[in-house]
Amino acid sequence: MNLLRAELLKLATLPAIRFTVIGTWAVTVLLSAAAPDVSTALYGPLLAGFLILGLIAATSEYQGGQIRTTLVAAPRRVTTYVAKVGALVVITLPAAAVTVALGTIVSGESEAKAAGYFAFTTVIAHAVGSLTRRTLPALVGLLAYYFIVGPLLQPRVPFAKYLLDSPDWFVALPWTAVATSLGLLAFRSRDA
Amino acid sequence: MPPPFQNPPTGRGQGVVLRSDGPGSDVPAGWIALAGGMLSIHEVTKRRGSREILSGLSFEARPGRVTAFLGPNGAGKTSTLRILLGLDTATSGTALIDGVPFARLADPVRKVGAVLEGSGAHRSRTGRAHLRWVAAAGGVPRARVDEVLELVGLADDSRRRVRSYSLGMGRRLGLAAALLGDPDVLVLDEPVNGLDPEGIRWIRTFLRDRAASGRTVLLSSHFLGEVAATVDDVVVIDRGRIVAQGSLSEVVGDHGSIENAYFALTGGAR
Repeated sequence: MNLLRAELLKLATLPAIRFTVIGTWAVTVLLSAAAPDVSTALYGPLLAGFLILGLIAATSEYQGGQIRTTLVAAPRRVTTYVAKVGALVVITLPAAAVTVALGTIVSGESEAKAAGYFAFTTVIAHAVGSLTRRTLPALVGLLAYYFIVGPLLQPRVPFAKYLLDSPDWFVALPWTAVATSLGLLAFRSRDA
Repeated sequence: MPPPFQNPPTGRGQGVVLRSDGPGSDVPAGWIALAGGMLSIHEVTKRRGSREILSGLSFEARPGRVTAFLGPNGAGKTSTLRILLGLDTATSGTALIDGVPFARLADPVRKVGAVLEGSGAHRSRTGRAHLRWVAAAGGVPRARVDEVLELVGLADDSRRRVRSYSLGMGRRLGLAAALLGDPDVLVLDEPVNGLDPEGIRWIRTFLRDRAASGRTVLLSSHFLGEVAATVDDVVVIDRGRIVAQGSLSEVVGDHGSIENAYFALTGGAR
């Protein structure tokens, strides 16, 4: 519990996390008011907000040598990583729920399923950030996949609905589990 | 400046806690309860790619002593400390604190405090916010954050973001985080780097006091003048190998000064 609280404090006191969440909410209101097709608006630019949220949560650890402070205070790496993912989920779920609620209030159309999609995507982005440890390469890769490669593949391949960016929970959950396991293995074994 | 107490007997990998007050105690007068932890580096080798950066290092840092780890830049001082702290994995050999690897310490924040390069804090957080999460991770009461801020002289700057700190303030913040758990062992990489003369004097007195209370202090340095005035034991490393170790007077030996000894042992100015 101590570690979960520490990771929550880290996320809550990092300005970039606050800006990302509030920025995503602002964009939700603007797009929901302007766009004729709400589901497109929700799954498009807002997704980028949650990708950035998960990514920053992971890569901020590697700025200013903070990872050393973390691992000296909490050297059991598996536990520490689980606490990180747990804390991220704790702040992402309400952030995603508010995003969907704002969209519903402004546009009058409900897209409740999007909240789960945002949460899964955030955790996948966190895993990618844990693997690269650097924000920019991970961001370029994630944006390229979710906004270029994924949409290009969707209408063209027969297995499209099993791809990483599927909004279907039965597909997103295993992808999230695999990505998080890879992130955990790297976090456990690599020199900090 | 000899410490005002005797050295405890040391066994490899054993923690040392002596009591002079227990019933049936056969500890001679003058021995004190020691809070320190025993640091034992044994045959540590580290390879990165094809390069061997540490070659079979063995040394100990004992409770009640300030031990200096000396050597030129790139000799392997920081790598050794990182292995001791469980940040890096040794290719072979062991680095133990009271007989256990760092990652298996029951209460790491109260056992070991460490200050490596820089502040160890994210630049966009405030100093206080940084200390608060470290305290939370270690289960340290929140009130302790104000105590350590006061102790290192950062109380007035604690609500500023770390990016606005000077080099010296960053080092003080790192030290504050290391002291949150009032640990038995302090590990410091180049502690006087970035400090002004007043800060250097302060940390010298501070480290001597830690050792005098029976705690263990291991510091790396290339400031030889500071070392002579602060430390009890010396370990000299050059190109990943230990070239001398012992008490300060043993290592200085016939060389006259620690500076002469250092250059003789590390092959002179390169």
